[in-house]
Amino acid sequence: MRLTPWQRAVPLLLALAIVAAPHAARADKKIYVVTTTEDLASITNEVGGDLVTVESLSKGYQDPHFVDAKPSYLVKLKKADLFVEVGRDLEVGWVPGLLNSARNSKILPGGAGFVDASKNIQVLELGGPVGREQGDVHPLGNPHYWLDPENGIIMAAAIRDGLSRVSPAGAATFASRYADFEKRVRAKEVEWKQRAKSIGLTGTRVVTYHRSWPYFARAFGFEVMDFVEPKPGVPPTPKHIQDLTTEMKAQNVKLLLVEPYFDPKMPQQIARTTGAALVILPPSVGATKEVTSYLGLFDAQLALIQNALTGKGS
Amino acid sequence: MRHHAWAIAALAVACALCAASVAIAQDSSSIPDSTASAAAQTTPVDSSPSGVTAPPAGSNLLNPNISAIGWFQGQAGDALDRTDTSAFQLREVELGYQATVDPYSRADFFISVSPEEGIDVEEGYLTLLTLPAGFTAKLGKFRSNFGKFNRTHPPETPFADRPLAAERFLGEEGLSGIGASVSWLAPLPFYFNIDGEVTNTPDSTEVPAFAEYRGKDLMYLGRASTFFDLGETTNLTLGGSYANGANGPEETVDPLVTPDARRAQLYGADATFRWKNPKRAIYRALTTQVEWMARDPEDGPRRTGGFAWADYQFARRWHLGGRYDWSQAIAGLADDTTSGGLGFLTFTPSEFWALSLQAQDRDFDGSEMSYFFKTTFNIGPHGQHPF
Repeated sequence: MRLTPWQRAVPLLLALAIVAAPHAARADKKIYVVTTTEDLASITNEVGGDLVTVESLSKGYQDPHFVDAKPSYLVKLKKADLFVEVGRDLEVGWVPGLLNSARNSKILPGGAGFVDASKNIQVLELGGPVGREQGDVHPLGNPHYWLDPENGIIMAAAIRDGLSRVSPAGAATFASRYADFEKRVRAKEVEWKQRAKSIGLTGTRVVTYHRSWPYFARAFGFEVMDFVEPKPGVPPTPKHIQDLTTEMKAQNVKLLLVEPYFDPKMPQQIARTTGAALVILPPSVGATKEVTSYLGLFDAQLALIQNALTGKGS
Repeated sequence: MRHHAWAIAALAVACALCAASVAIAQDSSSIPDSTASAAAQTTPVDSSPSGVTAPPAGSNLLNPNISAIGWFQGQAGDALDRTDTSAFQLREVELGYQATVDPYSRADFFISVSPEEGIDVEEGYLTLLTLPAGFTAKLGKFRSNFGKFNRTHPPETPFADRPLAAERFLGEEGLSGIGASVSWLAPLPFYFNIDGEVTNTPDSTEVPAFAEYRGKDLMYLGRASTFFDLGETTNLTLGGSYANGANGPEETVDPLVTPDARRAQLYGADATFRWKNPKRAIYRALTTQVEWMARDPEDGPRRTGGFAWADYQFARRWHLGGRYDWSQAIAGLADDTTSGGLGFLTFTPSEFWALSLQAQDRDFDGSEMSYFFKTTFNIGPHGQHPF
């Protein structure tokens, strides 16, 4: 009787486990946090400080709807003490399968190490009929909520609670770092809002590529008149572009905001036709080399818009 | 005797795994009460104190994710002369029901319905989510982890047909089994995974590589796979697979003696290379895959086959691809080698609908051309993007 694969595999498995086990133990005792986006990673660093090591699965220049669920992510998720996601189905195309395969029950939805940062966010575009005839819609509301700095504070609170759950000993540190972050965001908010007014962003009408900016628009008081996409996730058609440019000219729209992961050719053409200023606006930390923190994100965005509207950035 | 021992051991291990997964989860993972209800959903649904962000309450929230994929196909060409294939085919409707069962496990059911094949449980399994030390386990019926291509459900492959070697060795629907599977993610700094499966040997009418004989003649399967990011835009998956299953009864001269089972072994190797610029993820991508397999029956010659394919997404909604097939016939003694190819051009109006024109050339006794129009369409919750 020949050996079955099981009989062959057992000694091999044991040997591998024995050899590999010591490598699995991490030298440092920091809380290892894996986030889906660099915005979440930045806020986690703000709240966690020296007590955490944070890694983001996606980069800020990636479309967070379309990230490949690479097996290399499983290696990170398996070791994670805490997992933080944007939620609201933003990552529905890649995160659920990863979590189910990560062999880490702590970070499954419902586990102590799982944080849905949208938990206490008042999301926009919630309710009403939901169907795919409206494009690639999110039934749980618009998930681009991190683009309102006020929501950054709510996200930080969710992360603080998650960190405190997995490391009660650090709770006081997380609470005080959260309080400090909140104070800094509020101070910057005053500055950002003043700046938005002074550069003419507040009160203006803009067109954006995807439906990514309603929270940003609410925070800085401008109106998103229409989108380059006729419906979320649906590529622009010539007819839609024609109607859009006519409307933009009629309403004197001066600003066209485009996420860096979309092909800029069509927006460039629209900008040429209408005279609107095209801004490739970083929607996340890490979208460009210069944007390295959550607070820096709004500085960078407003500088780019200022440059486009007034011809001089800072 | 030995087979009994293995079957009993496998059953004992399965029971122990279930018990362990529950015990460990109860021991180590405290479940915050505010999110306990979210554990019952594949899609986390939170309830906020304000109630502003909560979706409408109702019993529907505990329903599983339900999805349906339709696969309609039109065919023309030489094969219609030779076989009883119809010009229009509703090849399959695949119904998916997926949800977490409780905090320790989830269940996935895929029911395939077709006018010709009737209703079949394509997959239906429980996955234990809370096992320690990098393990997970599955119990039920599942697509076997043999090679890379075999795990993909037929409607979701880029092709209107099956690669010739996959069809000749593993059958029209591919290799699947009823039994238990254990998967182990090694604690290494890179992805290295080992899968082991014990299932019933499939019926020879479905999977030509094996022949079910007695209930105790099981199929044992193992797979090792690894993945490397070669850079930010490229990555490589490598795998090796082995399966050993029954191959009908041994020949016997004594009619009073129940013959033992013959066995057949199957070896496989696969490599998948992917390219995609993450800064332009929705516009361009390339997937290429090579798979090789060999079958060694106890009482016959070794037969081999393989295929190589590429799928190039050259615009947001367009894919162009091709496949080369080469395979020996596994039955009979004659070394019947057939080669062929398939080309396709696919248009995807959205993520949920694909339309594809395909041409297939197979060199049986002279060239045989077939032409396909394949369309697949998907309703229900947003599924995982394929990787």
